[in-house]
Amino acid sequence: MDFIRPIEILLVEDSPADIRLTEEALKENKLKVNLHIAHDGVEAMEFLNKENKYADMPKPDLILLDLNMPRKDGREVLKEVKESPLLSTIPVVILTISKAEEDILLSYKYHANCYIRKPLDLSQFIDVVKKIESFWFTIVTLPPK
Amino acid sequence: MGTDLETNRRLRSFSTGCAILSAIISVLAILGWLTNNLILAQFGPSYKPMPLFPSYTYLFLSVTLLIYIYRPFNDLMVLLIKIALLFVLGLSILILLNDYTDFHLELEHYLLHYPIPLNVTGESRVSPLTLVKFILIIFAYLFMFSLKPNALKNISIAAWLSFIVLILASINLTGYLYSAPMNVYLGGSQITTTAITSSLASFFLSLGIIAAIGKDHRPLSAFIGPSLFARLMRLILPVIIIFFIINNWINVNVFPHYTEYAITSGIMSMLSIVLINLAITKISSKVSKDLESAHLETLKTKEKLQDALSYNRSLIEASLDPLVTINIKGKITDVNLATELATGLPREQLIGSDFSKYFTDPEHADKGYKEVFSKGFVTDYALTLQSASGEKKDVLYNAVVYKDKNGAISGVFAAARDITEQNKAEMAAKKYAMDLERSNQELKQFAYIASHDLQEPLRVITSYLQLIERRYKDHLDQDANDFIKFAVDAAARLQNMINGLLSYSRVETQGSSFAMMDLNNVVQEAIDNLTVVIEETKALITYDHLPTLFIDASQMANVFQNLISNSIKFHKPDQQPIIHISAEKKDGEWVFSVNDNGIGIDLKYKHKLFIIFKRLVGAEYTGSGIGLVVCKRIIERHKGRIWVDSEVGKGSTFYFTIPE
Repeated sequence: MDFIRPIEILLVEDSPADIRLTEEALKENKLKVNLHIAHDGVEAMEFLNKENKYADMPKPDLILLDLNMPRKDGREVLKEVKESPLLSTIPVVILTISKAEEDILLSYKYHANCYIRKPLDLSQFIDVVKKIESFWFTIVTLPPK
Repeated sequence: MGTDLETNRRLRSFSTGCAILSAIISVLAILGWLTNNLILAQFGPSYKPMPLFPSYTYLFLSVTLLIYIYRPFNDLMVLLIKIALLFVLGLSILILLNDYTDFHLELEHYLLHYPIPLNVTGESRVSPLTLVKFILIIFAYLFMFSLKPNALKNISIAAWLSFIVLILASINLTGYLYSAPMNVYLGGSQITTTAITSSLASFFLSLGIIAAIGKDHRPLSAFIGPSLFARLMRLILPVIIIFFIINNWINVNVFPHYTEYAITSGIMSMLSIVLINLAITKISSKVSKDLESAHLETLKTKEKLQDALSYNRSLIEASLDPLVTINIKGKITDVNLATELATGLPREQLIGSDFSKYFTDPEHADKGYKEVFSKGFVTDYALTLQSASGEKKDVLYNAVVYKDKNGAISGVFAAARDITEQNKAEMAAKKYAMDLERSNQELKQFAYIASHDLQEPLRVITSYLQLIERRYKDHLDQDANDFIKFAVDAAARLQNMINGLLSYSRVETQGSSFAMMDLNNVVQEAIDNLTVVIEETKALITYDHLPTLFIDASQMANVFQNLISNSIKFHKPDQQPIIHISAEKKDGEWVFSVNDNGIGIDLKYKHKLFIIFKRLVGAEYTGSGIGLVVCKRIIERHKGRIWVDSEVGKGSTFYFTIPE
């Protein structure tokens, strides 16, 4: 599928280092991406519900969600998104360093669309980000907006 | 009891003998009549012969006594015996009526044929005394045969009836000692004397009956047994009897030849005095000897009792548990040393005081001892003793009632066990369990931290180092690139170690449950997991047939995988790795061994093998240094041990045990 408009991605991630790393990885890609950042779950829900300063923000095409964050964490965000009639169609990719089985299980139980562990190696990480992009925006048919 | 049995046996022999003697006498008399040797029925030419009717009757009564003694009877036999007894009773009464009233039936002449003519009418008549004896004996028999075993009183009546017969027989016999006449005049009428044979027969028969009735009934009971009374009776009665018999015999048979009255009575008096004195002396010496030995016996018993009492007292005092006895009113009647120590009070003060007041909860203590009285005992009744100084002791009471010899409850015997230490230990164990639970919880948390939080910054470090390398490689010199490589390598090692720590901590927290598992499958799974490295090194791995044991299969696979991969990793560079796994049962556990032909380990470092992050090899071998530590922890979770035997240059063998 060809995207004429830029792709809207919401990255929910508390670590600035990781945010930057994701940005850098996305830079190396061809696709035009609008990357929105939420630094924790509260901000993410405000963004998604277009509250406060996020009133004019678009509905994202994909959510990259970290699990461990201050205030509201990724698990709660996932649950709220998937339980909301308006938001549940947005694909959620869990992108985390946790390899705890309970996290993996819980994520799929709350209908995460996939669970990806951040690789340690930079080139692998860049590869993963590229693959997420190409998978969700060139292979997968997304729900209509 | 042994002497009781012996007495009974003797009495039985005695009564049997008596019955047989009286039977012999009657049989002789019958034979005498039948064979015309009347002497057999009279025992002396001048004596009256026993007529046929009493002869037959004595025979019958003797046989009946034998039957009674040996008790071969059943209900039918008892009935027949009773009928026969009633028949003889009837006959005896009729004959009595016939001879001494105007009611003449002459029954004897119909029933018995006298083969020889009798010259004197009196000789053929049955003595009325004999008839009376028959009636008495038959009544005695009727009592004896109709009795239920517990009707003791009636059987005593039988014994007394026989006793009367015995007295009558003795009168007859002593009469013969003094030359009894054929006929006696009694109240104006002439009655026939009892024949000596009849007297003897009735004498033995009545003795036999008394003996057969047994030693537990009067009059015999007065003569039998170890009591002083019985012994005196046994001693005195024969003396008196013999004394009077001799005295009268002399009187009748010797003195009539001497007519001087003064001399006669003088000699008789002196003789009596001497004999009575002799008898009394004998009795006195016997009694005083008995009393003396009884006194000695009492002293000895007292001494023994004293010993037993002091033994018991020592036992009670030696008990480390506080012991008390309590009376029905709840007052303490006895205590031991432990009670004094526990309460901190002397026994003089304790005895007589209320049992319940030495506890923190007197009502509960009250309830406790009352429960003993109602139920007979309590077990592990929990109370807290409070000593005079306020020190508290948790105790468990075990108590029973004790009874006097009549079975009436006279008090409670209570033993307290101090369980303060036990309670403390229990508390400590509980606290330990809670600590363990908490530390387990913390360990779980740690595992999570290790898997996520520690790795996060590490990943950032690595990623940014690599980003620098990626973006600025061409702008940096060789040194900078080397430094980045070192930093990245170290970060990778650190990540390895964190993963190792995680798996170490998960041995306990993530272990699955135990089940019976075939170790052959477990080892095969470990080998399968190592396929790549085995192919690379062309390692040869073999294993013996292994047992099926109660294990956590995935953890045991982990152990084998670790040991095998270690063996492969440390193979000699120029040699194919050969690894063999075997198992052997020894002292209730299985000893497993994993043997290789690798480089071996210097055993002076063996204590470092199983310590976390201690590596014995250089950087040319990769590894986190945690594999063996995890193995050790898994084996310990299986209640086993792990150790190594090795020689540098020859290879190593790792051993571990798993209980059967």
